[in-house]
Amino acid sequence: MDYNENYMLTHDIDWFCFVNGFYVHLASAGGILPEGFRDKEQLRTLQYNVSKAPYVFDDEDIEENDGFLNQRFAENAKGRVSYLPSFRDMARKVFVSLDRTNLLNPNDNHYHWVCRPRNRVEGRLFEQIEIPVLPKQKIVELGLNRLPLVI
Amino acid sequence: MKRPFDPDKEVCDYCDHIMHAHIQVLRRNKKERTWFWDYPAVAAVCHNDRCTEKRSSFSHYPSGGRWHDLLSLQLERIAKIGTHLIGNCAEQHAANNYMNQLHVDNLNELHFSIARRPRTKEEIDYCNNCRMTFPNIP
Repeated sequence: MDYNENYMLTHDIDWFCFVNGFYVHLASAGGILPEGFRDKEQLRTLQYNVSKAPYVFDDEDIEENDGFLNQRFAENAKGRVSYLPSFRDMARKVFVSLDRTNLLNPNDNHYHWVCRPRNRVEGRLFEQIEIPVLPKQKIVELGLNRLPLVI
Repeated sequence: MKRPFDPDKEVCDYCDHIMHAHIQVLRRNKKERTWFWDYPAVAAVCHNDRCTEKRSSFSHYPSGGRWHDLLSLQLERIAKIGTHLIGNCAEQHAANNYMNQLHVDNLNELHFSIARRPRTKEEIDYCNNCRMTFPNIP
């Protein structure tokens, strides 16, 4: 059964997809998940499996989006420190980790990247975990085509 | 006499509590009948003027639970609870806990911490519904 709109609007849901050969993690921040990615049972199984997945990279192998972070936290070093851990954690598990940009508008489903591995991992890593492929149309709708997923 | 607390520290500690609970719930794979499998979008603390009493809560759909009469009356001037986002906000749930548990019958007595996103502790602006409901939200 799909999450209803009220649940999505009041929760900051971790969801995942496979885009052009990259594993992508997205934090919904109260936004609406695309159709095909909001089935509660499937998503919870995926979240659980990702939570169990081992770290592939060390902290120093993770690149942060300094352009965004310097802009958002220019005079707030403490804010930057508390913002990052969940995205860094996902990047250490090979995901390019994204956050929804416009927190004030739940209908604006554009995302920005926060953390990503410095090195690309070839091939599919998760044999046991099926990460759904994001259709081309959704990639454009979410603005992921504009993001530098390619390393 | 109780020592006053710092509301912003309280909400940051509450966010830490939610993050910790989220990790534990995932670790136990407890998918049903549990809070915090997913992070709530927002957390907030409702407190008194002197910062000696508080109740915390987080954004979620208002299913079940009892709404304080005065608060529900005020909220339903905007729309019925459970529709048009009314009753979803962390501030509204925190206020409801505060009023019910501490037997407070005056909205003027309610003050709020900064609302924060538990995942990142970012400050989240109060919504118009909360501004219309609570006199002390600017």
